[in-house]
Amino acid sequence: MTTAEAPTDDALLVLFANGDRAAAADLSQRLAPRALGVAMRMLGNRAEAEDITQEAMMRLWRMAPNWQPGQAQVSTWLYRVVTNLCIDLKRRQRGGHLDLDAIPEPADEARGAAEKLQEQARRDALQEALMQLPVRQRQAVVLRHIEELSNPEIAEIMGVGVEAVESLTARAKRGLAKALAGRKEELGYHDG
Amino acid sequence: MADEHKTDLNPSLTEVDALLHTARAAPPVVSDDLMAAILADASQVQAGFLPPEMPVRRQNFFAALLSVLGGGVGVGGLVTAGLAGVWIGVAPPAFLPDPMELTGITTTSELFDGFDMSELISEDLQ
Repeated sequence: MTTAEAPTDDALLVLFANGDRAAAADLSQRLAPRALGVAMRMLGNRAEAEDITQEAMMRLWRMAPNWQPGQAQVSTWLYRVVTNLCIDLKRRQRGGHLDLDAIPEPADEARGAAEKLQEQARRDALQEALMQLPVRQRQAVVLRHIEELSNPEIAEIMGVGVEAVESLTARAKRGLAKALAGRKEELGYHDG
Repeated sequence: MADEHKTDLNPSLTEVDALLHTARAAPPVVSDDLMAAILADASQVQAGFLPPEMPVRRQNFFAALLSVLGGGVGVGGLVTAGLAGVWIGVAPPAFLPDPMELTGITTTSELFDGFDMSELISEDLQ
């Protein structure tokens, strides 16, 4: 089994700390897309998401010599850094204050959906709906339903209990449904 | 989990699930520029982990010889031993045999046969 032979993120990070150059490339291939995905869903802006991804990966490299293998998952650590950086960025953009549970302004409705492919339209619609959620709900639903992390992992990343995660994801999905209400036909979803 | 089954029955939440599935199926691609920047950061940070390389010093012949002989202390010992050897050769202690005798050469005050040195000196003094 090839997957059984692949080194864990833990092992790669230790190799990196010991000077193995290839380990950096392997870790980047594994983790950077996940970091970028979360950052893009959290921020709704690719340029900002790329900056956050680079910064989060930089923190990973710097932390490598102090990493204690087996104590936590590298990906969990990275998700926490990425989401915290996203929240910090949003807070700075709002002049130092961000109410994590407040409903933000709706995202700009720059669409041009008519000429877009339906898949792209669906992704855009989802992103617009995500941006209308409070940050904590957005964070929870992205980690649960797009990154497919377990509730205990999300609880660890967000620093809350598992029940709070369940509550946040449930409210987030209801919020998304509300934001997308009336766009079913536009997005090509038909009853039956 | 029971809550999730219930949401699937709700048409609007089913639509949300479908959208989330679409997003999950198309993760963003990391651009080459971003990957290059990440790897450049990794190299820079990793260079700081490695112990500094020992500077390679070029030694000239005498410095290398001095090093082989044990440095200044070693060379000082050799010089002292050499001088002691010369001194013992010139003026050996009483308990040692005269090295000149060992060579078989005997010394005499008569420089030439038929001439006594003491007589020659006394003649000069007169």
